[in-house]
Amino acid sequence: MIVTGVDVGSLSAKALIMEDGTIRGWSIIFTGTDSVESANSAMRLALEESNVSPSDVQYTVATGYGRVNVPFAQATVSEISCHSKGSHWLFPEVRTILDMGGQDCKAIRCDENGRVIDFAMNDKCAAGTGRYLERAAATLRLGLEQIGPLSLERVEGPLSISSTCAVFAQNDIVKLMREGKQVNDILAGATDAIVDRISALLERVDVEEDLCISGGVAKNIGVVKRLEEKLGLKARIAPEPQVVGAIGAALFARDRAAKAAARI
Amino acid sequence: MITAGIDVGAENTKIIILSDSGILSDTVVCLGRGDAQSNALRGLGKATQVADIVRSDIEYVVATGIGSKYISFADEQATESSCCARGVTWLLPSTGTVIDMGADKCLVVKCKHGRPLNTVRNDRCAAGTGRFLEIAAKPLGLDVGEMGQLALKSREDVDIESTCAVFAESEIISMIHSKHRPEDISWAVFKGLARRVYTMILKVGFERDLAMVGGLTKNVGMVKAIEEQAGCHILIPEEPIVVGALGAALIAAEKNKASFETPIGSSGKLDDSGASQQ
Repeated sequence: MIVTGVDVGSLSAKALIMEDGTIRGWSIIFTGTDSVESANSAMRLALEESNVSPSDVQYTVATGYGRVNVPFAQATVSEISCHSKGSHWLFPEVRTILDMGGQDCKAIRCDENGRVIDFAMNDKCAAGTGRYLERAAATLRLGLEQIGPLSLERVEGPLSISSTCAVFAQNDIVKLMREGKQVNDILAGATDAIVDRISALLERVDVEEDLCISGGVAKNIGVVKRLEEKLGLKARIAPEPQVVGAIGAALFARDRAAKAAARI
Repeated sequence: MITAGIDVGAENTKIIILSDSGILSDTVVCLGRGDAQSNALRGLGKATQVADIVRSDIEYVVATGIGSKYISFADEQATESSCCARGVTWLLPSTGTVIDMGADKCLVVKCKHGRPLNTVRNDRCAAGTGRFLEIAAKPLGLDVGEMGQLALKSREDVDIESTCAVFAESEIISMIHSKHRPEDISWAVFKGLARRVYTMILKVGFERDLAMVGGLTKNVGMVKAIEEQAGCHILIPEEPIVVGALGAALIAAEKNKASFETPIGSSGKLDDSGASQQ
């Protein structure tokens, strides 16, 4: 049985094809201005990637910010549930999940079956999301993939960025640049600041091991290393942390398709 | 007695020179090109020229604003809320609550007899400050003033849901893509910021009349949006930018107890306003 999960986030759309409990393929594309179009092209790409024709797909579940705009989905499930289910499927020992994307940050606690017990979420303020780092990187004229490693290579002492707000922090960064501070040290300061915000969010749900980090920011080694140090644990990270939500959606699709089949 | 008030803001330094007969120097605003101290000295030089006095005529200097601690020649520093309350009550005696909106901060002060009773301040989050407007105006290809003018022409009521300035920027970009008119988006921006300011007004304890000072007072869209949100008319002094500096100069004048009886006609006005509020 072939099922699919689509996760339409604020910055990227993810589609994943699953056949009898194994992943056949996936795609990640930038979300354009049209979320219907983004969902369509993500799915087209994932189907091509997995060599599956659209007519073979039995059930599709959509999740994420733009989940209501996925025309070919039979159902929608919240991204909290999908991340919880996806992480638990990848790492059955996981009890706490941090999902950090471009526009929000979620801390989720789940039970041994991957069901959500509690969650805390920030989607109101850019200061605790990937967007903060994106702006910091842009101000320093660096690519997103560069900033993680650089933030770990301190040249001098750590610099502190006192503004919480992503907009005001940008001023702080410009000021530090003008003072001739090292880019690495500035990045270290910005990463320290965001890790403080993330761990405060995590504390609201009580971290219980194992911790799984998903979402685009899981690819930032500077954030992951700092967080591990701060919490005193080792985080589990999927080979492709951006599709964990889509995996969860595909698993919900599998369950629902099976239930529907049983009813018939 | 001649005193000076210096208000060192995020963008501009404002200076007022005051004598017993009133304001001597009009408005002197100095763009913050150099450090706070040299900006203030430059401004003070200009102000003494306008006032036709020499530096040594100034008996007392009070500095306020975020950069006030850098003004080493000031005799004293005063908080922004004291200066704001003092200045606005002198100009508009019926003021009960005053909003001071600048580039990087927003201050709401409830005042009585020219003194601050309660203050709510935001300089931590761009969402409630002028910076929000700057960020919003950029994708529209406008400056903040133009956006204010345009907002008045809005015909369709839309809303920006994001509070955060960073998220609002993306929301505005998608609104432009989905063919919302710039005038409607502009009005939505001002409405969003006005909602934030109004929560601050409620937090401080809304007391009429409502007055507004600071750089953003010159923006017609901003004033109208807050008026609609608060459901009342907003009093605006003629020179809203220098109210903090004026308050500082008034505080400086009060330092001389002897001149307190007659100064600048201010004490009489203050008493009147107090009586009318009760």
